[in-house]
Amino acid sequence: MTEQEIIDRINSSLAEEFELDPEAMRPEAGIYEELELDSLDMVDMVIVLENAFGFKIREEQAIREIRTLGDIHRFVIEKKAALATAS
Amino acid sequence: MRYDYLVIGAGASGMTSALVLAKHGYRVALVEKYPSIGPLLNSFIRGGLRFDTGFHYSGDFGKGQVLDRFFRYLGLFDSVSTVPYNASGYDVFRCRKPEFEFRFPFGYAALREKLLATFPGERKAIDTYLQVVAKIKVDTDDSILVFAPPRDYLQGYDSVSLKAFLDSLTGNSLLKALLSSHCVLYGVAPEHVPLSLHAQVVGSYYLSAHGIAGGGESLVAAFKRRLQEAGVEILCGRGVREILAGPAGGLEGVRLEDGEVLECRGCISTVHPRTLLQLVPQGLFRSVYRKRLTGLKESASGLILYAESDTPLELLNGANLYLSEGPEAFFTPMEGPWWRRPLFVSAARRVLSDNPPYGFFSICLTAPEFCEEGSSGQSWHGSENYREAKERAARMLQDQIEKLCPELRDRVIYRELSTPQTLKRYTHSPSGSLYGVAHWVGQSNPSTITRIPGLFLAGQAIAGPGLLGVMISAFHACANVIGHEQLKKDVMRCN
Ligand SMILES: Cc1cc2nc3c(=O)[nH]c(=O)nc-3n(C[C@H](O)[C@H](O)[C@H](O)COP(=O)(O)OP(=O)(O)OC[C@H]3O[C@@H](n4cnc5c(N)ncnc54)[C@H](O)[C@@H]3O)c2cc1C
Repeated sequence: MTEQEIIDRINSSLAEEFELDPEAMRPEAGIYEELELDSLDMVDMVIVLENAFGFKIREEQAIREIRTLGDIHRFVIEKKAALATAS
Repeated sequence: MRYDYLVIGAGASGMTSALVLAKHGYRVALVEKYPSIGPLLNSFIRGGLRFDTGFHYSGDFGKGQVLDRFFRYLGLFDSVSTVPYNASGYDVFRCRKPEFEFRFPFGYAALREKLLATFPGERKAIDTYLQVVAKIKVDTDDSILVFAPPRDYLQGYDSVSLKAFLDSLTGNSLLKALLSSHCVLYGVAPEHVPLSLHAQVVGSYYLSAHGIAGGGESLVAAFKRRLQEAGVEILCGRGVREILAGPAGGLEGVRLEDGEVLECRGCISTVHPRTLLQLVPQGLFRSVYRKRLTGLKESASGLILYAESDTPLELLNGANLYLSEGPEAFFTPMEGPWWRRPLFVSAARRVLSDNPPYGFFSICLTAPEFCEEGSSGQSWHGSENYREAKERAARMLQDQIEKLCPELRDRVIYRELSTPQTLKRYTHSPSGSLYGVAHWVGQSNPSTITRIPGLFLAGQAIAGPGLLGVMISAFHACANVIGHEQLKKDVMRCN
């Protein structure tokens, strides 16, 4: 998967599952402010990402520190790269 | 507005929630679909015996422990008292091949000593197991009694199963079976139950085990008395059909099945999460959250045999039995022919005196779909009608109990058999499972808070099953209303 494909998949899964406006899915969009998710939604967001990419991220510290959609993109890209080198 | 808060469902979690809120000055109504409160906890009478249903015993009633504090705080000890089980053997584990018996004593030190004497070559496994369970239990207790709002909703998720943990410690199947036997108390196989939930449950029994004098019935009566004294309005035989929200999404009240609307500022729902989804109008929860609640795994259900004896059953005085043919059955307690699965046996009492026991009830775990038409193979006897199938299952269960526990042979007659259908009917649970939504490795159960302002959740799906688990969820749901610091202060003040 290229980075762009990863980003597209993140955006489309989140937009679909959280009923977000696809136009709003810009990297600088704050997940709490612009996308209007709240800390309760984090559990579901993590599940959506886990299902979309087939990995487990619930116990990772970094996922607790994301603030923007771009942070999610970077997190997933790095996670996938780390898994690829590990295998 | 007549009420500040409405509590939906009058099980242990609903009665607790209503009482906590009323004690803090809120005007509360408790709405229950069944004709009386606490349907799951109540006892029933057959032939002079009182059979308990959803409450037999619990851990954590020792002085200063969590349930003890909750009961004190709620004033329940004004009308009920706890009765300790046998300190030297409250749970008796037994199998036939190999012939083996182990009696669980009160206290970690005594348990350790006994395990070491029984399994001398397993010192390291035993010590690690007990240390890990004790640590999880202490940490959970600390966080329970702080009533802190969850800082991190991703917490509470556990990737280690009991089975994986035990497998990492030892290859001794008898020891592993012994330490897995309590899975009947939460209805999830060792392979799927998070180690953390297992530790929270057994960690409390390892300290001590108590029943309640007069059984579940007196617990319900004690709740009722306190609820009335606290001014809670109890509405029974009235199901909630719909939760009503205003245009901005805030909660405004509920509509009952008979059409009446009760206005309120907020609600604590203790019903099964799938039932809740039917009460909440579309659009108020996100679709991902709905999907998550819909997909939650269900705990096991069971066949429950209620039997009577004309001679006292000393064996069950202050002790429960965990029976099985061989140790392996405890690893997959819901697989294989149901009449060969492990059995849990606990005392039934005469109406007028608690001791000695003159009967018992016994659970054999099954899938919730067990007696539904078309459910798979070795379950129910497809072609017979429900009554006949029940009669036959009861005889088969009785035979198996007598085989595994010869002391009961020719001494008991069966009085009643309950099935998942029975549980469905009495608890309005959508599936008829014993403990509602399961706690399952890799699953994120809902928290007490929802997106709808004023709507909070309590019950078995949240913190754990059993009286302890559901009372924890109720206190935590109420802490969101009352303030965490305030509730902590109030509970800790009661000693
Ligand atoms: C056979 C058996 C034995 C058990 N033994 C023990 C034991 O020894 N010790 C122990 O600690 N635990 C035991 N448990 C577990 C314990 O009983 C439960 O975990 C606990 O009682 C559940 O409480 P709750 O309030 O979460 O749920 P429930 O008691 O199920 O309460 C939910 C209530 O909501 C009501 N309801 C449903 N829909 C609606 C609606 N639309 N409107 C209004 N009301 C509605 C239901 O009728 C029900 O009364 C046992 C359970 C079973 C089944």
